[in-house]
Amino acid sequence: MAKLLVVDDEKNLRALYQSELTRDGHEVVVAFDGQEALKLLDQVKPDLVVLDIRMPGIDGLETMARLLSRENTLPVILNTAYSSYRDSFLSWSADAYVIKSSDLTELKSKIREVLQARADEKGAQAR
Amino acid sequence: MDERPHQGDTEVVGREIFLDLLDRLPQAVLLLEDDGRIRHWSAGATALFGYPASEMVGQSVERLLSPPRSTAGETARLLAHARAGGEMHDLETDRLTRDGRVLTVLLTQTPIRGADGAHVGVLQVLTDITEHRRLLRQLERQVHQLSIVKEIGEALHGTMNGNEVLHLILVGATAGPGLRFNRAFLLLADETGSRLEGRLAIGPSDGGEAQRIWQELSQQPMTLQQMLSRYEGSLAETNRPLNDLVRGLSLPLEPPGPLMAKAISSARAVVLPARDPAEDERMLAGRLGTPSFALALLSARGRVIGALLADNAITGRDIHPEDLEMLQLLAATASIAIDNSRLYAELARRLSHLEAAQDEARRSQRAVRRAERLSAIGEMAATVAHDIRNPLVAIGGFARALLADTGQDDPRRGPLEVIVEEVIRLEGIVTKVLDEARPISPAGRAVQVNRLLEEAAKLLDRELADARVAVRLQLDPGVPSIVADSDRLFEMVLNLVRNAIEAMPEGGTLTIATLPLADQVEIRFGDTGTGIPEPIRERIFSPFFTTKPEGSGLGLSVARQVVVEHGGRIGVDSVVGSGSTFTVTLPTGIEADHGQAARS
Repeated sequence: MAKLLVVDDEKNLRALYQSELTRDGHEVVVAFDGQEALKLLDQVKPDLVVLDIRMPGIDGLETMARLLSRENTLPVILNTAYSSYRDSFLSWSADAYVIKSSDLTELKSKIREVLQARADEKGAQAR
Repeated sequence: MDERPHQGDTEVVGREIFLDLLDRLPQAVLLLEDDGRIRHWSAGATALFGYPASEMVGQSVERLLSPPRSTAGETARLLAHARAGGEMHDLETDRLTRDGRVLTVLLTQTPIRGADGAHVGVLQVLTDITEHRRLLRQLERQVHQLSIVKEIGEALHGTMNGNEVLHLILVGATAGPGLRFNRAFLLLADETGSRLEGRLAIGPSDGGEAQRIWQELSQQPMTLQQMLSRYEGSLAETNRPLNDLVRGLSLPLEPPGPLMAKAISSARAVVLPARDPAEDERMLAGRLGTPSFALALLSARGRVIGALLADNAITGRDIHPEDLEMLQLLAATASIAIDNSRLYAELARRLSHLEAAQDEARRSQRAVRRAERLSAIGEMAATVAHDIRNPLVAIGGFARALLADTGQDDPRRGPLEVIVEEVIRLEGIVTKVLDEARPISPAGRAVQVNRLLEEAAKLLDRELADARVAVRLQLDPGVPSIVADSDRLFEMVLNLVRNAIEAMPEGGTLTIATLPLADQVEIRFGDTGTGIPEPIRERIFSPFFTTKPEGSGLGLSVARQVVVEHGGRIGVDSVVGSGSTFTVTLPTGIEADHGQAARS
């Protein structure tokens, strides 16, 4: 069971992700913006972060940069309403880029893939 | 007069008084016998004709009759008329003076009867009207001249076409009902005003052609107005030999040769060559093939703008003072017409420039407004679509969750499926809008050029290694942040690096250097590749220009586009065989607060 940190400024979306990702078998902690996510990082020690990009205060890309500067192996999935950031080279550091949809299938499968990849890497290093 | 008349001889006294009275009249008063011999010759007659009374009394009045006008038999007719008792008033006729001058006189006569009522003689009173007649004829001629020039002037005012104006001047100078010259030539000042150059001419090229033209005209006579209104296209074509001749003429104006100096100082039309001709007068007459020609200067606003030359080379007719007067009048009207047509053309040219500029301004204004509107609409649509997408995700997401928890037979399943479907439809619409209406304005945020280049090099690490290209970064730590769209800048760097890789098919070294300038940052991309030949260096930034078989030709044009978007410049130095260096200069823009670089 993985521990996920979901960052989104929309209350109803946080509720949806919490409910659905929990149902998918994850432990879900939510943050309402980048600042809170950074605050929760050490306390929660998430296995993966799901980040919205457009948020008040520091945006998702900036948040990702700061999270990675503290925890450079932390897997990050960008989850945004915009497709335009996908081409931004700033997004290239993310492990996956998902466009927000009411169908959470893609998000869920990306989470699984990224976690699996990390597990494989760790396994390889452990050997 | 101390001789007193005899007392009682009242008839003799009355006669003396009568004759004394006649002598006091300014007119010539003649008392004639019935046969025409002069009985009395008044002092006025002596003054008019120059003969003293002693010479004329007893002579026949026939002596005064002049041969030029047909006065033969006039005396006999007048005497017969008087004998029949008839009076004569104001008969206009000619008389000869003692020194041979012909006078025009008005003759009035009345018969004289004796005391018995018998016819004894004739009293003639002659009034000299020679000067009146001369003035009247001069006036008539001038009125005629003026009416011709006025007609040409009116035709000239009817057009603003420069060529047509020149044409009309020449037609007026040569038309039979116009100035009647055989040939006419127009010279106009060149742009600097230093020379008069031959422009247009009219007239037959030889006697044969003249004969033919005048024959035609005599069969179908035309008024001046008809001739002027018949604009038959270019004279240069229809009067070719003469126009070839005129275009070879060139007279110095600033400073003027002797010929021009003469024309300028006389201020009127002149006949040349003059009695004591200068060399250039003789030469010009020789070129024109004429013994003499008339020349009138054209001037406007205090400057000589041309010259009108005319001659009678075909008929050899003398150029009279009246012809010169007419030419001068025509030249004055022609000057105004030429000047007007030029002003008009200049005005038209400026107007069309203004209109073109205005059109251009209006077009670009419209384009800007349209672009602004589209951009505003685009941004608004993107914002709206984004704001709708988040709630849709929540609605649809929960509906799906509920649907998943609902059994196959549950009546709530249908409505939930509708919600899920409709949300899918709405999300599709939102995606479409967002794809089509991306925010256009480049995101201006502080970009650290050095870091951007480092990251780019890192990201392209694999690609560079595969191409056996070594990268040397020479980044000046003093390079400041610039306000730019980091994504676009990255695109530029990517294109320039890939271009360098392609220029070094055998591998090589790519040097990326930065340099801080006053309010700019300079970035150099130097490769050790094949170089760019001089002839195509200009074109390499054009879209779709490529020298590589697999290149799209867009790379460098995209790079330039990005540089232009940021108000910068891009250039290239290249040595064929040793490599190229692309230099990008970008303005730093307003120093942005680095910490505030948020997108929301």
